[in-house]
Amino acid sequence: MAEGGGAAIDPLHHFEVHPIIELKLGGMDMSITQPVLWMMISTVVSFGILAFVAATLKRYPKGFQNFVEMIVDFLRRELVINVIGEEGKGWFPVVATLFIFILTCNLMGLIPGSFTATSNINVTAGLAILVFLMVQGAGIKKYGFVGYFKAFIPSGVPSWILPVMLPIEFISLFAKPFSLAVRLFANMMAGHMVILVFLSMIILFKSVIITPLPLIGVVIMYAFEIFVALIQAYIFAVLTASYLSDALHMEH
Amino acid sequence: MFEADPGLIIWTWICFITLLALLAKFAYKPIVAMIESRATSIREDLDASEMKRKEAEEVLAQYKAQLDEGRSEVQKMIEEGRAVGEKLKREIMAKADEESKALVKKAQEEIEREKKKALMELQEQVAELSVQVATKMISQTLEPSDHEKLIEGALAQVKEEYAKS
Repeated sequence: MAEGGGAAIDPLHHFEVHPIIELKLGGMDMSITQPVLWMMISTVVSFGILAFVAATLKRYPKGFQNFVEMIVDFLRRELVINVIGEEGKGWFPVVATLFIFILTCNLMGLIPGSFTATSNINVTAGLAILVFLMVQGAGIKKYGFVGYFKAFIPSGVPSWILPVMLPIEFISLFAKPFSLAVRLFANMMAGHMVILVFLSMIILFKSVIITPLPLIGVVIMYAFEIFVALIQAYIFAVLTASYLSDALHMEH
Repeated sequence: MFEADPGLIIWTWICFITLLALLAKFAYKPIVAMIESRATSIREDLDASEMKRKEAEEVLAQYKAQLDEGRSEVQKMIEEGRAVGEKLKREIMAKADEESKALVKKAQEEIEREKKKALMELQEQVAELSVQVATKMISQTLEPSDHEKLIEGALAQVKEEYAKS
């Protein structure tokens, strides 16, 4: 994971973004950096696996097809239909792709020498902004622009409380995508940071006696990171589904 | 890593939306269709098997009813047979009884007739012997000793005759 001797002492160095291919489009820096590269790899890998399974579907599934079908069915039923309801079926591709994309990015980041795209706040913020826009879009589409924002003021609330309530509602509206972005970014970065710190310790102490201790720590953290990669992808998808459900059920 | 990087955000959108479009068309659609069609066929199979089961139950009930009917018919036939046998038995016994009674009666009558006949024959013989005795008595001299001899002779003769008959 460490990129050279100097980097080992400063774990944060690992998360620095460097352009691999410099690219400028209309004054915007669109350089292909490590997170972009690894997002592309994740896209290709996850699409490759799922498209292969979908292309070789069998009526009597076995092995990997079973596994993929189980995940797809789980996402569709437990995440989308159970949380949003039957009308949420149309949102299944979005929620499932969020889960698969984030999971693949997280797991890709565990390959030594790779870069965890989801450990960069811009990536997670990008996804969170997308979710935010889709949630507002879903609400506005169902209730109309006025109707949707009217629903933020519950009926029967005394008017003097509105100056207090509206800012709270407004903050909570933006707190949702913010928490989505920060949660994923912080979890992914922290896990890698712990692994890097353990590895740095090996180089720092340069001692055969101490080396096994951080090494055990690294192995345990790696196992834990696999779990975290799965959990964080799941949480992101569940919360997206629940925000969609909120926007589609404003009556409550 | 904390600095805003609009380019990276846009790249994130490009990657995500590309993946979403590709997966929706090439992965989710066929996989979900397969899951749904399998679920549908399983449901249909279950329904079909349920129908078959009901059908089988009906047929079984029919067979059972038929069996019961047959059994009761057989029972009826047995009872009828038994009744007929009983009747026949009674008739035969009554007839046999009657016949034996008739036979006994006939035999008694026969015996009676034979007895009468024997008695009649005996009477005839006694009369004849009496005549003979009388004849002998008359043909011999009337001496007391002769007299006695004659009577005794006649009596012996009668005795003899009687013993013979």
